[in-house]
Amino acid sequence: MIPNKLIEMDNVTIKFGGLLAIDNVSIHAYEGEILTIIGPNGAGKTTLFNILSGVYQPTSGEIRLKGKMVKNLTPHVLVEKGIARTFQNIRLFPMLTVLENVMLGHHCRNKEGMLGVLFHGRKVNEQRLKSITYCKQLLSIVGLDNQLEELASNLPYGKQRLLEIARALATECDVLLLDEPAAGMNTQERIELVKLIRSISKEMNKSIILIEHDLDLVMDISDRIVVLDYGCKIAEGSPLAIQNDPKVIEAYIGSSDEEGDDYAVI
Amino acid sequence: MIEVIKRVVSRPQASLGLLAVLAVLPLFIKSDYLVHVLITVGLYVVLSLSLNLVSGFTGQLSIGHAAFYGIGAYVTALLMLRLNMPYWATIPIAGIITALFGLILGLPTLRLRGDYLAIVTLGFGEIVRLVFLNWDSLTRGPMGLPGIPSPQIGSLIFTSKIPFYFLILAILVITVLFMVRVAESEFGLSLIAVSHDELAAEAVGIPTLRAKLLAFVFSALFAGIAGGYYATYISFVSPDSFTFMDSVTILSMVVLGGLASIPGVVIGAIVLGLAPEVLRFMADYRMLLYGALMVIMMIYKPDGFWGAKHRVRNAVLKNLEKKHTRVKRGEPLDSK
Amino acid sequence: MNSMLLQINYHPEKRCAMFSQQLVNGITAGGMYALIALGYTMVYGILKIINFAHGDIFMIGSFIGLILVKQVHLGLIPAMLISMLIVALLGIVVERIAYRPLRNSAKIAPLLSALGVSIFLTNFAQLVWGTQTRAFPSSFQITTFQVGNVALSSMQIYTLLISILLMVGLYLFVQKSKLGVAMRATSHSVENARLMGINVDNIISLTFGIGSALAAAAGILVGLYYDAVYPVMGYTAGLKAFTAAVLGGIGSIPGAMLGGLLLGVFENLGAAYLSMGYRDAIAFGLLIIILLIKPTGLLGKNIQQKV
Repeated sequence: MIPNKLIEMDNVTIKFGGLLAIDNVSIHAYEGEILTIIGPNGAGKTTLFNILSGVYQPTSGEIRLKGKMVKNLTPHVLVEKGIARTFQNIRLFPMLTVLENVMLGHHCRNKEGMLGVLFHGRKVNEQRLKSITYCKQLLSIVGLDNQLEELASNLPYGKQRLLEIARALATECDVLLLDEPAAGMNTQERIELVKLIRSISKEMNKSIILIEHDLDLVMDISDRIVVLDYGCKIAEGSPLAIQNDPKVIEAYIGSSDEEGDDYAVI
Repeated sequence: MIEVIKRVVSRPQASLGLLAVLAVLPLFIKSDYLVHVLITVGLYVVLSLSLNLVSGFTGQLSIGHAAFYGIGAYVTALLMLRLNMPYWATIPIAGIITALFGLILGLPTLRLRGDYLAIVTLGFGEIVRLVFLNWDSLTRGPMGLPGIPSPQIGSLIFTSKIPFYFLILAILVITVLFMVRVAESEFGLSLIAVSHDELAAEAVGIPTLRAKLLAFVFSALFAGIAGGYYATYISFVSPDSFTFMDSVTILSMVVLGGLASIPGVVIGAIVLGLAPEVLRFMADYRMLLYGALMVIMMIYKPDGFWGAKHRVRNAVLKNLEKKHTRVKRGEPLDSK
Repeated sequence: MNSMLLQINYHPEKRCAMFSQQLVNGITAGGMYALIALGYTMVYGILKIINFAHGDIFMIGSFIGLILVKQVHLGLIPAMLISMLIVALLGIVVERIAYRPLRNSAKIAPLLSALGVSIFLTNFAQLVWGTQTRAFPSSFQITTFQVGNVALSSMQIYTLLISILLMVGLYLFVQKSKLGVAMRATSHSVENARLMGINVDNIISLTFGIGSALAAAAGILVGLYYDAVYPVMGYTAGLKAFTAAVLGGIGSIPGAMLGGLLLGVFENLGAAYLSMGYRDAIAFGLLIIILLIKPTGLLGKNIQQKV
């Protein structure tokens, strides 16, 4: 059975003044698939995420979510339609608790309204309870269910990243954009992260698009890889194909005066 | 010490007890003047709670809040004087009109943040005051509107201060209940999220513009109702009562108590509301003190005295888990 | 009373609102607005905060000048220079006490602190010097020249000359001197400036000092020109000068100069055709409109927020 195409980016370009940040890029992402975007710094990976999540509007090109065109939608509307993301520099709500952060992710699915806020009918209470139970379950999946009362800012770095993922999952998204989720994690944490991402992809059947620099992790986890360089897609394919693609190798090693040598190519 | 106080005050019995005390208080006070002081403090509490919604919870610094107070007052005054409306009918009208202005002031938040927004709120406050001052045909300009009648229920007119006291008490209770409900709801959480990191809030599906607009609307609504009360209580309104300094006074109450903290703001309002009376001998130095206070607070206690650190965590859970312990095991994972 | 435009005092026989006359008046007023606006824009350029207290610094400068002339019997220029020095120090002290500790705090903190300083200074002035408006005596012989339809007073010429002199001086300093370059570097990026070895704290103090000195000069010019000094003058003038800074593009020095000029002209032209009371509302209204339509102003740059 052919899995559904959840994201279709076709010929997307974005210009900032004179700067061409993304140049005619087309990417498709499928249900249950882990797609990783790699590329040297400044290639436009986060810009791509910003376009997908509605922070930027593309200068030209089309984007479809679950078959429907999305255009000029604010980020929160895109979340309601099923795209959620995490950030390269963690953006949790620091003075709110672990549970509250995740509940805010689920907020878009609880249509409570002002009357519900003011008068706690039984229906409202039931909905809240269901919501909280759901959030707790998500937290137990990432291993944070014993720290519900902890302030987000008090968590160690690795756990903060997991919390951000739980929060994004709480939006009941179909597509999850993870921006460098492994950054700053130690080896053990990375192993757990890989397990987590795999289970989200296969068991929850979500489409995951990942930006990562840890090439070992990328090759391990990805179903498909897209390589960006200077805003253009220079390669796309399975991990094996990408590893042996001469264009990719060149983009990473580059000319002798670049310092891209922290990326060891297999 | 603060911990103990906090724990005592958070119990619902404490609030009920306090309410009971406040309800019978006027019977024990012979001095009209003291009742007036209490009423003034009550007004300040309502005003600072209303500002707290926008500046505390949602983090949108607003330094023109007195404008809403004034709009509510003038609308009520004009309705009662020119159209002979009973006070009770003016409440919803003044509230709605002020809320509309709140909506107008909230719209710039779509494009403006922080300092810039603060300046716009300042400008708004000034423009409103200048309109009060210059639109002679409507407001009688600097001469103000005297002779606003008192409220009446049936044939009973509010003649002494006592019925006024109970009226402001009622308004106050409703305001506090509203704010507490908001604080314990996801809506309140979403406001705090917007104040922390608006981009992240959008990114998790919070409709940030709608949230900010709602905050402004309700903030203005309550300030407007307080204004209406003021008009009928003092029975005279003039542009002098709704100046920038008044906006700053209300803001300092919120800052002193702790942005977004309801008990903090209430206490801040009580302390700074009583201060002019207690520090009567220092009347000239009062604003000087306010200025210095704001600087000192920002440096040493930016969270106020009862601020974010003392916030009740997971308040949304508070009443829920007690009531619904008979939730069935094995609820479906996805609440889709 | 709040309005800076007590024109009528000054030209009793020139009530007619001839366009060119208002233009000249506007340019003169604009020069003074520009001097104040520069302080706002320089501080915002580096610290990204609006120094609410700047208007009151201007007011204090005016009072100090007044005292130096009236009670210490100094000449105008020495009084101006000394006032500029004292007020520069005041600006540096304010930064040190009320803003520096808050450099790494949430944005709301320096804003509220600045507000607190502003309130403090205004009320301080009211306590020390009373709330009444004082006249600014000068031994100036004011002659008026007729240039076509326009009456030009020597006061206007001097005011404009001094304003231009100071602005040119500032411009040269910022463009050519080593410290000026350091200031510009810091306003581009505090971190980078620090990495290049610039003592950022000192540069910030210098910025406050210069901005405050210019405001003091403006204070004396304004006090002289409108023959009025009173504690609340800082509030209105400050807001208007801020409007000018935003109009020209906050953070941009030429922007502040342009904005000041434009505001002076708009205000004088508008005042000639609108009622007195709403005159201040013009500046506020203009401010709000600019902030909504083009917050970066005429000469400002768009700063994209990096996600």
